[in-house]
Amino acid sequence: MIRVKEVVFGYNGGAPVLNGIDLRVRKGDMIGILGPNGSGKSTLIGNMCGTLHPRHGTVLLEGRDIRSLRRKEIARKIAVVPQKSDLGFDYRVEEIVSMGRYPHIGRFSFRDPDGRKAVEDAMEQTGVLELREKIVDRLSGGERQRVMIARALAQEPRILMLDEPTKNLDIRHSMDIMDLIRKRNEKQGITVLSVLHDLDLAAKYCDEIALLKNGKIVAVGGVEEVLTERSIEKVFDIKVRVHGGRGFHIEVMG
Amino acid sequence: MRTVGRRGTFIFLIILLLISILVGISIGPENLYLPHIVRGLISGLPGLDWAARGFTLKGPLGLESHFGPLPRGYQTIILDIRLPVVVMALFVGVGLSVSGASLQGLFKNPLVDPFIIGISAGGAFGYVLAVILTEGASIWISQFLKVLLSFLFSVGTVFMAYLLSRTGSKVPLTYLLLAGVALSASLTAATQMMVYLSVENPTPVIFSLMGSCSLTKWWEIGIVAPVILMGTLVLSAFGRDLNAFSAGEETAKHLGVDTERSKTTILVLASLMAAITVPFCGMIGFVGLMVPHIMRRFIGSDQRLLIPASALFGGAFLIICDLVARSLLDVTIPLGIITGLLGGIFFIYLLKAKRVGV
Repeated sequence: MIRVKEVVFGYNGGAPVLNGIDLRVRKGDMIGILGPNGSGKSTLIGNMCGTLHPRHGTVLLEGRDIRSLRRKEIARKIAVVPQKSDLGFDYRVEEIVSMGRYPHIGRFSFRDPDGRKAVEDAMEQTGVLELREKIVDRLSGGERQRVMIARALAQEPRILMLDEPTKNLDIRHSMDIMDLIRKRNEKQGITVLSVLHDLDLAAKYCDEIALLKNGKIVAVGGVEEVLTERSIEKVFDIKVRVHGGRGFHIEVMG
Repeated sequence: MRTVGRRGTFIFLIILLLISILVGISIGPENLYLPHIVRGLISGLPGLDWAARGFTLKGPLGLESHFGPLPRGYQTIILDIRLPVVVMALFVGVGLSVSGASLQGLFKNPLVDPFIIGISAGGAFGYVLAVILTEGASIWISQFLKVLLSFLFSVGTVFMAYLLSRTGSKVPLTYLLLAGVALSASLTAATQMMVYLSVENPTPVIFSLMGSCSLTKWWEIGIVAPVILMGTLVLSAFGRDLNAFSAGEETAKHLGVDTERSKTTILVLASLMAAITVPFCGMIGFVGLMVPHIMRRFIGSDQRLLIPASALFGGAFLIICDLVARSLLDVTIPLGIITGLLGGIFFIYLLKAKRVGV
């Protein structure tokens, strides 16, 4: 689906944030991107969805250079749930979710026959149907995040990219959000790429993990293969004990 | 507001607009009655001249109604004096409000007004420059140059702000806003300097700058109306883009908006619509700020509805403001003073009501 080839990226001529990234995302994958603050996780997402352009290297979306695609074409394939989502005005939930239809409607057409259903489905799958008339800025953090995911789903994407979808959420709401994303991945085969901070959460929900440090991928592969005591110590600079198997979890030793 | 519904709001706005047009024509040094206004208006249509003369309507069952001729001079008052003023106020109100609604959405900021990004300051500068350059010249040359220069400087200021804020191939919206504010301040100072030093009789110049729709001629509407109609139609079609911008530029990109292109189109149209009003009606501030605000409270923030609603309400609003300006006192008060007063009060209300409608 997406192929990242030797990508080097830096902001406005500054020092590179990504130092030669190679990554292959296959259809139906659910990949967690992990790494310490400033390791380039969000920047990698930006490069992969085409809002940032690499200095060197290329990003291929279904075999085509993402730079050669129009924004609308990309948005029909990739939906992004950004880390921050401030709105300038009081929008109602349904209005926000309907914004996801943008890439599917021509400028001068006022009808979007499939749109109604896509918006309804997205709101149902994320459990925000009964909130449709509510003002988004007055919702709780968890509800708000669901609305943002609903907007992304209304785009009917093949790939969903999320930048810390559980940021500022308690463990219950974090798991609700991850459950919801996993379900879309399993039921609709949407490919998921998510930046995460919580190692346990990533281990529980993702098929694959990419570990980032200083703009480089340190390790990529299956959960138990990547999240080892050695790699975690190397990347996060903490001592841990990894308990493998079904009850996989990570114990911090200090 | 949800109980009335959006359809109800639009019907209400259309009725409000029609009423304000009729009231605007009716009130003046001589107050006119509705039947006279309707007949006066009909008589202006091609081939319907008889409406102003006396006529008899024959109904069924032998019923007949006789109408005497319109009182002397009414046709002229209605068609050549009041109607152009009302129509001009209507278009200027539409133009400023639609421009304001679009710019607020684009900048994701409810306090933006078409004049804040330099349109009025530029226009005023061009106007005063024309006054100085054409001193002693014939009235037509002076008129022509006033219109031309104030329009060019209005658009030029926005363009300048655009160039100043450009970094690489991008134009960050916050930079653009700051550049506009900075240019406005400098141009306003320069304008005052010119008035102070070089204009011999500053009173009429100052009056024109303060904003007015009175003494409008039909040819002026012929220039203003097409620009504003075009702009309103095209910007309505950009409602979805503006919604996306209200969620931030980055999100707009994720949703598939070609942000640089949409931004340029919206900015050019919104500037043109506000700039075209300056040479004819001077600076009428705050309309573009207040009208979208009020409409947001009634129909919500969805720009697809906000733009047409602002157009309807803005038209009615400025007709009423103009009516107040010309009938409150014995002398005509500049329209910009009325809207400025209302705008100031409105701002304080916003401040106190905290986030209301924002």
